[in-house]
Amino acid sequence: MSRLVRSLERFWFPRVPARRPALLRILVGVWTLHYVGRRRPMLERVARTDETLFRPVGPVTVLKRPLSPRAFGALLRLNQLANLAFIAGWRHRQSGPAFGGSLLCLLSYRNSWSMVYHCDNVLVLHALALGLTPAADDLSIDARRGRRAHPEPHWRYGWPIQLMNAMTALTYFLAGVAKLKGPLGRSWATGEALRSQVAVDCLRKEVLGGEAAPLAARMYGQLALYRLLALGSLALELGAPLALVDRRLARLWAANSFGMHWGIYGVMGIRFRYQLAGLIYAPFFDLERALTRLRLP
Amino acid sequence: MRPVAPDAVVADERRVATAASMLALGLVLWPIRQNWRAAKRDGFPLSYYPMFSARRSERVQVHHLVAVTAPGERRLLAHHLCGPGGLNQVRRQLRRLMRAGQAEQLCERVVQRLARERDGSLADVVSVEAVRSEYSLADYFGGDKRPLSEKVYASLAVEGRA
Repeated sequence: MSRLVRSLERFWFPRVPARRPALLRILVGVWTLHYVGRRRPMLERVARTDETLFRPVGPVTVLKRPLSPRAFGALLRLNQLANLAFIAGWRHRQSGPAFGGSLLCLLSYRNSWSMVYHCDNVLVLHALALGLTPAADDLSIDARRGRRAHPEPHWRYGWPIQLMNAMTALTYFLAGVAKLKGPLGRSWATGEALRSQVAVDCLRKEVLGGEAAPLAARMYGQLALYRLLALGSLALELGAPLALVDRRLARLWAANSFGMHWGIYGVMGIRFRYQLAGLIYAPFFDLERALTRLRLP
Repeated sequence: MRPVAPDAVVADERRVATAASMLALGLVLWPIRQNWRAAKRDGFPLSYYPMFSARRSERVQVHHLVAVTAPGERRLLAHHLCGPGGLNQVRRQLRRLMRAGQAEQLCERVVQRLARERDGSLADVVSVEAVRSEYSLADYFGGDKRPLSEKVYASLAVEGRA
């Protein structure tokens, strides 16, 4: 086997304790249960939207017409039950795919009404990665019943985490490419485009009675600041794949991206909730060590 | 039957994991080709993430609803009165409906909702208009929040209040 292949194998299949994907399973599961649960009334209202506005995306494209409110309610309930089983690590081989798959369908359906939001994509990808891989070999009912115990660090637990990180980095990279390949090209970095985007968003919010973003109005005259923000966000997006190469770089990138999303929230009032919660970056960290430091089981 | 060597099982398991990883990463990267297409199409959860990449003109058009009171005061109607699912979703739906000639049906839905309001800030509304307003960004953020122009697609009276 060549040295390159061996290095790639070491990179993609690091030996990781079962506790790390287990902790990620619990964190992502609890967060999703809260996120979907709180939005349940909104999701049910969206499912009753005028049929003419239905523009299916993702797996929902198999539908020619919207689901009946009853069928949508059943999907929502299935997702919440699978979510509970996913958190508990109960029959993970069935509940994991059921949770990931139902979340994919649910959030695709929510985005099938003339507007595709970009805040839930990575959540769905992470849920699928955890749902389809052995993320319940520790801190789970399955592990307690002796079904899936594997106490030693193993590459089996390492690659799903590498996959989650790579998917996260690629989505940021894609966002950077879209800016450079968009109608503005490299001039996007001058900051004028970003200022216009922020201004248009702020104006629409004021006209349509949304949550006001007072900083956006105050910053309109600060083109130099927008230039700095544009350069910073392009560097973070296009440089995201570098976070996969080095662990320290990964944490630096994660901290800066986390700050960027809080900045977007501060200026524009846009909530990328999974990013603002920091969960999107959790797989870059050795979570089990934090747990040990906190002297938790 | 010959027993399977543990090494062979591990190699098989790794091959499956490698194939699954490559497939997943390939799928995430797949939408990148939209950047080279004339008619771009976004998707979910596989997206090319076009947010903030469009060119914005200094003049901005917004499709929205206006509530008119008896003395002629014009109030902007909040998105949640016009439809479910968040501001940007409702904004796109309003634009789509007005362009498709369904502005009157849109007003009708909102008017029915307002007719049920006996008190509150919208109890004195006598009609609803579906409009497209055009703003200048420089004027707007310079302090003049009035639209440069307005196109009324439809106007409907609230029953029993005119």
